[in-house]
Amino acid sequence: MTNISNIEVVTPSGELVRIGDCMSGPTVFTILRYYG
Amino acid sequence: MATAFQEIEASGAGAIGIATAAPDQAQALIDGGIPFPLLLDREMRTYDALGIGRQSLLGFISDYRGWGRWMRGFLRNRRQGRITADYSVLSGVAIADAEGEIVWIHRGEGLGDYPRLERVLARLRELTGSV
Repeated sequence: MTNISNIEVVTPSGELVRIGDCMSGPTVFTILRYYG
Repeated sequence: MATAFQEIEASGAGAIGIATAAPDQAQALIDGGIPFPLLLDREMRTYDALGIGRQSLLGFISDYRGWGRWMRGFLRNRRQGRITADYSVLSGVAIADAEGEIVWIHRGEGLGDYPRLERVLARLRELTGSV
């Protein structure tokens, strides 16, 4: 299975975070081209 | 997904949005009341890990189902904002367990190809055991 918790992304303010740091349990991810 | 967030939360789960761009658009959504984190993945590591593909220019132009979805959204006053990313990037919805393991995924095959909300919530309830 794929685990995405260690993937590094950034917040809108530019802070580098791991996806797992933003999770607090089971999570629904919506994956978009852009926030438009 | 913002409109479904209460149901997602009631199922014992959270939500996260991921897109390739753009910080100002994400911040505008947050300021507008989006109740879950919005993250940016310019290097598309999440997309690659999830196997979310791209659409060729010909596929994009000839995606009549996608244009139909776009038109339905337009007629419902769901207007697309300023385009700030590569048109070829596709979309998707995934559910991860508490450890971040992907347990279900819908990979979009065209413009606006998202699963029905009821389908996502049903899978989520299976995972969390909520009614």
